[in-house]
Amino acid sequence: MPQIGEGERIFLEAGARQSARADGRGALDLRHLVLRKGVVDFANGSALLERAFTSAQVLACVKLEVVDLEDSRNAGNEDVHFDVSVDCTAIEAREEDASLRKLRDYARYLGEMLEEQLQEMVSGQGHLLEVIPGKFSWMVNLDVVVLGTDGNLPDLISLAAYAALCDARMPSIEIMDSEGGTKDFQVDSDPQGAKPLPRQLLDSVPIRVSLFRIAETMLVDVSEDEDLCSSLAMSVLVNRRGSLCGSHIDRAGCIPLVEVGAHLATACQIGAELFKLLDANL
Amino acid sequence: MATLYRPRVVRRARDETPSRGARIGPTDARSHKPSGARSGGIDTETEENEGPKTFVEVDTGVVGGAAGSAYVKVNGTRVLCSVRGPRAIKKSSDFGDEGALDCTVRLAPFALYGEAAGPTSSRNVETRRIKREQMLSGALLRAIKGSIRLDRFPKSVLEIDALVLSDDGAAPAVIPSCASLAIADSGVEMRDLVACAQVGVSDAAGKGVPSFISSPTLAQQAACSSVMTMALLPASETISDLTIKGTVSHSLAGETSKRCFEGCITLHRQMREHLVAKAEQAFADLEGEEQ
Repeated sequence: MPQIGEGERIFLEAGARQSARADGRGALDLRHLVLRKGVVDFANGSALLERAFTSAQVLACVKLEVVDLEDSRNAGNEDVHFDVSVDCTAIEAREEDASLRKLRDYARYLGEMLEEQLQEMVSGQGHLLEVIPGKFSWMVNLDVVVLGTDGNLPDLISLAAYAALCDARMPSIEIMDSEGGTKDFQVDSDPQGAKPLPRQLLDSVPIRVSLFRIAETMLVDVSEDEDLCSSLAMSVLVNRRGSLCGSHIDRAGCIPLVEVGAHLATACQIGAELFKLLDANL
Repeated sequence: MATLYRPRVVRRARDETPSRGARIGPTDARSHKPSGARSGGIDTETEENEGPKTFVEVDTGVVGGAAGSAYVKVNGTRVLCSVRGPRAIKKSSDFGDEGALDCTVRLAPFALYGEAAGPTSSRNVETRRIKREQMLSGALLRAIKGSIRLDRFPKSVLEIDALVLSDDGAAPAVIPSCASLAIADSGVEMRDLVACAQVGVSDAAGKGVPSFISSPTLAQQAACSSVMTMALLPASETISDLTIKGTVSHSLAGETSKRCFEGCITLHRQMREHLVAKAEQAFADLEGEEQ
């Protein structure tokens, strides 16, 4: 398990107080992101997101499939629109055996958390993904592979997921009447006819902005060493409309009540900047 | 290493009737004053832009074999919490300078009812229950970890078990409050009691003016655009957990947090009054026995 020495902790805390971090950033400055879309040929959408000058790399792939809603309900699976998995095997090599299980549990936790966020986003808008209302619907399989990390991994995963969903193209569907008065469909394999996911859906996809407290200062986009020094992490989900979609506080610290509003406003502002950056490149 | 805190036997009152905690009637969150004890029932009176009043009942020392225990009921949500320990950690590799906290939340088989129980498929109900238990356990740990003096029992673990007897949507708020009462009942040192409140925001009236519902039921939460849960340490006015479910604008989030704060303050006062009354009763019993 990574640890940090006392001298390094003091150095990072002093830098946080003066808003002069070890890599020269201010308290609310983000690290540069490099985005490449369409990196996986056989996926409906994909995005490779890297933090420049670090080893952090996340690859997100979107595969779409049509599912039978009735079969899913009979199988006891109501939440059919998203299936998310997060894989961290690429970074397992640097972990000791004792930490491997924790890392796998963490990966599963990240996947479940992202799936829950996306399912909540879709609730009430499931009709946008339906092929034949009440019978068939698109299911979005989102697979995230973590190739490297340098702190603040959940935020990077949510950004990569958003980029992949924006890059995704739904094949065109032709609805036809079949025997017995029922409707059937045919998927067009021509990629020229594919269209992006509904705009209304993409506007609801949240990204995660986390603020970490180090020495009474809130920092954003922390490195791995800064993450080890932080006493509190406040994570906020923001969508493109600027609305808050969720929040929670991690670690054992507490936030003064008078500061909560300011931190939520900061997170919304950073979220808006990130959406601008991503949309300019998608 | 011996257990530092020994379980206390719950004593019956002199008149042999079971000791009951404070049955606190509906509370007016706006005025911060309880509107008087009632014999039971739920006040469904509504006010403009304010949801139905909240009916709260608290009690401690309800589980005889535990170091500390508490029972909290908020409207249709009932939670029973028991605390064991601190007890020594067996594996030396898990030793630390601070004590460890082990939080487990379990939903009784009959806890979810109505639409909350989901379809009749048993596998779906079981999956829902497990997911909800995991979510609630994580939320409980986040909410109370900052309030306990873990440095007072190194190399030890404090086990907190919360059993949800019925969940009508307020479980994420009731469980941390109940756990905090149980820990206070056990005598473990704490920085402050944790009071948790839940407020839902909806525009059900359709007037464009948002309405706030304190401790919304599951049916009310389905109609809300967002539900905020806040865990507050009132003495230091700090928040140990703030959870938002649904979508809310930033300005409305500020309004909602104010109402959450009012609910937390009201509940905290009731919790403290109950603990003080219980302690005074215990002292009176001791003095009576000595005489």
